[in-house]
Amino acid sequence: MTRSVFRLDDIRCRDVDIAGGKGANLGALAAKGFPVPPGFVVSAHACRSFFGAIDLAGQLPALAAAGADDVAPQCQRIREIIARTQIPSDLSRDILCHHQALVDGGGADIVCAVRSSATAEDLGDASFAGQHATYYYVAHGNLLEMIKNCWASLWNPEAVSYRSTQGIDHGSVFMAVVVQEMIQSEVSGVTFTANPVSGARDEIVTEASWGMGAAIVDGRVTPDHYIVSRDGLKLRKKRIADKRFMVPARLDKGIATRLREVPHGLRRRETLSLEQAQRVAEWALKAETHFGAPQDVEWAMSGGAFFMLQSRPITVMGREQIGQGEAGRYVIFKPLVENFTDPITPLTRDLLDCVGPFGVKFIGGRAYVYLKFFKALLPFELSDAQLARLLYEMGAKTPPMKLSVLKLPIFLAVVFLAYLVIGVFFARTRRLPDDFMDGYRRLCRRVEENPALTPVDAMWRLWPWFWTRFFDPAGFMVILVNLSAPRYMVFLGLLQKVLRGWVPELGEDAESLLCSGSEGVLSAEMGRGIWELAKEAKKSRAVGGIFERHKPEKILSALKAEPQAARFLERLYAFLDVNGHRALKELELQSVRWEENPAPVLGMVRNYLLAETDPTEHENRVARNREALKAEIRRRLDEKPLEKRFGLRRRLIDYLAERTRYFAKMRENSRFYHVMGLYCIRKKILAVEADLLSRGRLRCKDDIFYLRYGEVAQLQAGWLEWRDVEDRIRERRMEHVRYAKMVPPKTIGVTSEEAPQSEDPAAADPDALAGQPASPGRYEGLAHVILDPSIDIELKPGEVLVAPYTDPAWTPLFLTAGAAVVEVGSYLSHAGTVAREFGMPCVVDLPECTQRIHTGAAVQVDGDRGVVRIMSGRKGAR
Amino acid sequence: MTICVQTALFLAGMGLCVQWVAALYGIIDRGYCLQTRPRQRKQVMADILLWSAVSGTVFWLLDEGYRPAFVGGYGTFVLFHIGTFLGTKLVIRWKMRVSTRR
Repeated sequence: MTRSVFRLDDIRCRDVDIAGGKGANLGALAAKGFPVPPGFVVSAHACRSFFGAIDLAGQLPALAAAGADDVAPQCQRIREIIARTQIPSDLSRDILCHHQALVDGGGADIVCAVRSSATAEDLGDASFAGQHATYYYVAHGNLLEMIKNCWASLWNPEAVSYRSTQGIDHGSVFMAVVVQEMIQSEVSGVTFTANPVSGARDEIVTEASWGMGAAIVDGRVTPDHYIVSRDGLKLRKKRIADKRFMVPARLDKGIATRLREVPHGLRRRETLSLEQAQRVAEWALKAETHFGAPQDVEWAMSGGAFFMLQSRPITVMGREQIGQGEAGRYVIFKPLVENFTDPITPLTRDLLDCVGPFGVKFIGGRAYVYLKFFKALLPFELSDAQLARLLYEMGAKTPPMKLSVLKLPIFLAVVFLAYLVIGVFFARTRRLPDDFMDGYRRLCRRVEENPALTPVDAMWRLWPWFWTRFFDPAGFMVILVNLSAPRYMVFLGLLQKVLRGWVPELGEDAESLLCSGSEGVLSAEMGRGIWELAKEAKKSRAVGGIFERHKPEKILSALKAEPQAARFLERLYAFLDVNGHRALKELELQSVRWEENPAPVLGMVRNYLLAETDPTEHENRVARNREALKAEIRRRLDEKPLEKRFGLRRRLIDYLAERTRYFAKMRENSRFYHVMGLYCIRKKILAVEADLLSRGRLRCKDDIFYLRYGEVAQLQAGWLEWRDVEDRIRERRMEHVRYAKMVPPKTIGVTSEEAPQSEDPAAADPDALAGQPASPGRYEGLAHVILDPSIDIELKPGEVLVAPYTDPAWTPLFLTAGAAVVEVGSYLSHAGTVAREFGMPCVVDLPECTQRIHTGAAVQVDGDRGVVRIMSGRKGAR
Repeated sequence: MTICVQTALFLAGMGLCVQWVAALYGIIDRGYCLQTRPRQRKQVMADILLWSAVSGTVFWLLDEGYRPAFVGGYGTFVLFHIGTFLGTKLVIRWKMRVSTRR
């Protein structure tokens, strides 16, 4: 008779058929003397016998014949059969006997981790990450059930679909199950034997936090960060984080939520001494030597003893790994880069995908455009590398391109068809009143109040890329405006041409100044609203005092307790009623909105109070300069023939400036409403999440954003349970953290052609950083690097804002800034648009400028040439 | 030559129809303020009348032999516009099914 249960240290590396990939790996470590927690493996043969007993083979033809819609119910049927069938008595006796041996060795109160270990896990390129179940805190009473659940996880719809697409026969895959004692760790963490972000092989990176390791690996906690050199294990870098949460070693009875707050005294205390960090690194290096490749080691420390929980090859070694396996060629879509500076979560991606425009794909959480799609449309002879550069530098000066005669007819046909489709949109948006999108706000309320509408329904109602309801166009209005508004570039181009032709003496920023003015621009009005709140706060000494004494997170509760703050609170709620849908990284559905937590708004009010500045002065100055420029143009045009009599040139210039302003304003405002729609969809998701949390199908807040939309639907329908998705969420959170630490590659599958070296003397200047001009003008001032406006919000008047990206939540900072320098973006990006409105120089697309420029350094921003020169003060390393 | 003129008239019919349909959309797009803002009401009416008048005048000026090309362009665009709307509905239905299945 074949043996069904093995002690972990009886397993060897070659025993994948018995113990699955994970089990064989752990067994090999245990046999080599690595401190692996004790445990045993229920073999794949046991699973095969069990499947044989329930005649699983008889179910497989029906599964193979099932259409895409029928896979989930078929899987559910199989899982139900597994759940209601008892494990044969001799096998269950054997399992419980091995469990008793663990208890005898570790104490009566031990709990176990039960992990799936499929025999297909070692199949070439197949990766089953997160598809098979793992269970923690398993005790004697539910051990057998959890083992059956692991077997059943072979029949998750995702695992089945994945096997089908990989051509793996369902009947050939079996599941071993690893049962291991859970180490009740005081400290745990992950160690990489190569830097997983930079790829540096001479660094060993350790991340550690209090309690169990789950909170670190899935990104819920910012862990302590240690880097030691491979050579000599010398400490190179140590960063002690504010560790607010931990996963305790034991669950309290009746409490399903796993996260606990870390006691105050431990939050900022370092988790590892240097000796401990070196010891961890030593074990990780031994694992690397054993497996012959860089490893990602999960470990725990309990009572001073070190335990190795898992060791596997580092899956992501650097940003070049992003997009590996993608068949096509892609380039990052710059106009969208600033909206996705952090990778988006899987749920946001799915929902955006379902209404997403053609030719755009989310890879590694970032938006990329598909080169083949654009290559087919453009009538030029371009290589992929040239096209990648063209799309990447969209909005900048384009290189000369050769027209392709063969592609011209296709291009003209596409333009004609596009005109037939979009022409009506263009004509509809020619002259609309400023408030025409207010209907969208009412629509959002209707959608929000209708419980029958799912998040996908809401998405289609509020974010359709085409009109879906003939007589109720509000939902489509926003995208209609978004499609039509880029016409402002045409008007701006024409304006530039006529101004240069008729009044060549004007400065380079003439057309921007002529089109400046933020009247009717909702994000600028939002900034003014915050300024008005600051003025209101100034009226009462008690309210002003609260802002001075408290941090932004504490201000609201202090205001509520202060009777004199009633008027201010009334104004604050009125402000939130209009702008409460805004947030940092607001295209990400996971982002908390100002209405939910107004701390960022209160922080900005505090900023104005502390800065003692009046932003309207800046706006008035721009308005005065604009009027002076208009008078100058008029004076010079009057010298032209017939101009005094008819004023045709002036009228044309006024018309072009008015159109440019109108369409630029529409573009910026459409985003305001788009974000409003997203908040409505977020509320729908939060309602689903609350329901799933109450039914125990989710355990932690925000986990829902790490599920695919189909999985959420299956959780709602009861086809999936928490145990089925727990591991997937964990894997995806880990992946999200890794992606967030990386600068995404500019291109995937192709190397972009580099822009020719500039002849600008700035290019040779070591203190000059060359980016892309986004708003003209020159300015000298002190730099202030702000990474997160909700934390660091005190920008003094006239300082140069240096930021990784900006979105409308940053707009109030533009009111006090003298100039802006931003890591990402293009001429059309938020930073450029707002800087032009406020008439300040702005340079974008300066990678790592937040590291190269330090707060307090004197900088010169040349918005005409896109160059920032560091004049004095500390400079960052290049 | 006749074919060229007829093609041009067909395209002109389509182009004018684009403007005419957009003018009609004004009733829906500004529906929320037509009752309360006489200026908007007038503008919508003016747009519809303008593009109807331009289309009618072109039709009236054309020789009888050329009129079918112009009207054909007009009608083709109306059909195209409605067809796009219906086609979109089908695409949306398909995409919603795909989203839920993922």
